[in-house]
Amino acid sequence: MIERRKIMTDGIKGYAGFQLRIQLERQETRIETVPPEINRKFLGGAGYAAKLLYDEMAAGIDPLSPENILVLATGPLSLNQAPGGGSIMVCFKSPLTGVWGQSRVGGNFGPDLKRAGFDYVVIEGRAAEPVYILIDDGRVEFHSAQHLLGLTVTEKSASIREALEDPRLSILCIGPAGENLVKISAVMSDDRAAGRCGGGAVWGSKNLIAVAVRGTHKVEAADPQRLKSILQSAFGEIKDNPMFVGMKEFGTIGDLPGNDDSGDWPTRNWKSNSWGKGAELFDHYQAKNFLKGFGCYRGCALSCARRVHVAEGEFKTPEHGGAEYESISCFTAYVLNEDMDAAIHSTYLCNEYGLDTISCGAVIAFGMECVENGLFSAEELQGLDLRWGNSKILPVMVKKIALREGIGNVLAEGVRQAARLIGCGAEKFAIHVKGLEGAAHDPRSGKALGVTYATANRGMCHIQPLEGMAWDRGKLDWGLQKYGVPDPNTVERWDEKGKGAVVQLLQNGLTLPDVIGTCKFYMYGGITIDHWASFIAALTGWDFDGDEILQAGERAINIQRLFNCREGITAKDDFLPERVRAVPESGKYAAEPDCAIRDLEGMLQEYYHARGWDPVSGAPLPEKLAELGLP
Amino acid sequence: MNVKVKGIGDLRDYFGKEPQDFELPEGAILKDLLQNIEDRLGTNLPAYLWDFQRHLFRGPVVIAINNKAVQKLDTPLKNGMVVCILRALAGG
Repeated sequence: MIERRKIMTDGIKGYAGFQLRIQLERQETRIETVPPEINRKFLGGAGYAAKLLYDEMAAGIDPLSPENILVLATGPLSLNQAPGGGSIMVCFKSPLTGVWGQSRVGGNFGPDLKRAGFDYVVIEGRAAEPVYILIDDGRVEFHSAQHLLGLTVTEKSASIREALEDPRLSILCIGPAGENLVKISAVMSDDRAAGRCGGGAVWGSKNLIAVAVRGTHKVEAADPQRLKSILQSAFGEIKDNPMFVGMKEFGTIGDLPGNDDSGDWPTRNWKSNSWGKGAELFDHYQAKNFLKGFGCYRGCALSCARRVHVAEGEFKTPEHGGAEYESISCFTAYVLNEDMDAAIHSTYLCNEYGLDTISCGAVIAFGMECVENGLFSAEELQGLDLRWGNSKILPVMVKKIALREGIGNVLAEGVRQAARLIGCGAEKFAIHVKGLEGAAHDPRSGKALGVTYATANRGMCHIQPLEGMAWDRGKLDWGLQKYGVPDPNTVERWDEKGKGAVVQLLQNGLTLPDVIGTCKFYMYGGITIDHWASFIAALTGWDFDGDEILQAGERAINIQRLFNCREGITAKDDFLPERVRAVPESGKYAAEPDCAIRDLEGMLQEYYHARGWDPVSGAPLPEKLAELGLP
Repeated sequence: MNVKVKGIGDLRDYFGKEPQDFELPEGAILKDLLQNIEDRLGTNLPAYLWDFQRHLFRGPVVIAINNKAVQKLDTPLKNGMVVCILRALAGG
């Protein structure tokens, strides 16, 4: 047991100062000190985790082998009182993509881990039998998880809380999908998900079923009065911000009508970028499914999460936290499903079985297109009516993928590998970059997103490291105009020239929430780069400003890129599927040739130049590495 | 008095790239402006964006004055105000 006083007086304020290393095979633990200068340089989260994996993991290892290293990383602002501070990053080598894997989840796990005395948890090896771990104020216990196998996420979490006699325990756990090594499986924090990149399968491969944490220490600030004062001021500034108010009132699902209208809604496995049914679906949700908004962690003022249900009918679903924009889009527009109840029910099942809702909807859409083109035999389909718009098949497919039954076993590999297994030209239906299925935003609504999708270190992701469309479509600059980002009100969304150079600046800023341990949505609500820097300065006592925090963001992107280059990634892997670049086949924008991405290569050349990366190898150049203090 | 109405982001497609001028009587409130918006732009606004029965924006749309959300229809307007209309969200 670590003494409370020791935890909070070593190192720097704002950090616990310790890293917990867990060796699963031997059930051994070690507490390590993280040097203050390393925390200042990498800050935490996906920045620190990338350094650790780059330093400690050999290139080319099988992501599902014991050699993979799993890092749970908080940041300095993973605090309940900080805007968006209910955050934890789950980082690993992805079994879905074979490259850098990171996924963020909300909830109280991150802040509670810090209160338990640790900034980071590093998990190595493979347990001989299924286990779950309790981290209890510096003390670590291993428990058998044999009895938890096959249970849903809600059942597992309830069982652990009951066994440990603490209903408030923060828990990360996997569902049956992770146990079955499904490559699109998630790590869940109750009904919130670290969904992307297949982290659930990494946990499953390690026989790690859950990690629970209880922390009672207070994380001290260098200047508590100043921190309190600037936090109060910031919350005061944002409470009437129109985006903050909008997100609180409508949740992310409120994006459905507008994104459909503006061509930012991938439809029918990306054959189109609009459908014309977004408003109708949203109206149904508001009238029939929505119960109330809530915050996913203690202290969240934004409260964008939704409690929803389906009261009756064949898709009857209990009240739960869900109906996020991404999840619902992937179970409506992606698959042409017009039944919101079916989408709510299917995404609920994804949460319970521990699947990434984005990749799951995407892989079902891919499967539907394969069926449409006769790529599955009747024997393979086993009577499954996997056709566009069949709402009844969606929950069936979720379970089949999670349990690897029938063609679900193929789709459980994600679209890239499934296409390889199916052959016969299925590759052209597999919409991904670097193996990660595309999220529910379409770069034909704004070209900056195309550069993001092509270059994001974890693959075709819109939020790692930014949602380019929010700038490109004239709305937000996140306080980055003073650092060189053009005024979004002056931007034409379908222009391409200049976008590549701007994206690197935007990425440096928008990757920060994943590095400092906060929620990106607060940046949509008005928190800026300078706010983050001032919070960290008051918390740690560092003389810290916007330039330094932006450089930390740039450093995180670069070390993740180094990790990827070592795994064989080059500039040729920074691409967009042909379908995503083309004029949509149908919908509102079918007659708008300007929305097509004409010169991705040109935008990427601008991007590499601005990044200081070699345009052929795609690797950071020595001068850039020297500037950032990277190896 | 003169009030300018500006569509932000995608809503520039419906409100134009430049702010539009609306002449309103002294003492006008937000509800009066919305009626004027309907009179001038109503036919250009898609059904999902505008409720023609209640004469209000519908769905996830936010009205902002001086970068602050305004939710009350009886909010008083002042000469020279810029009223911004934007979609409530920008990602997710």
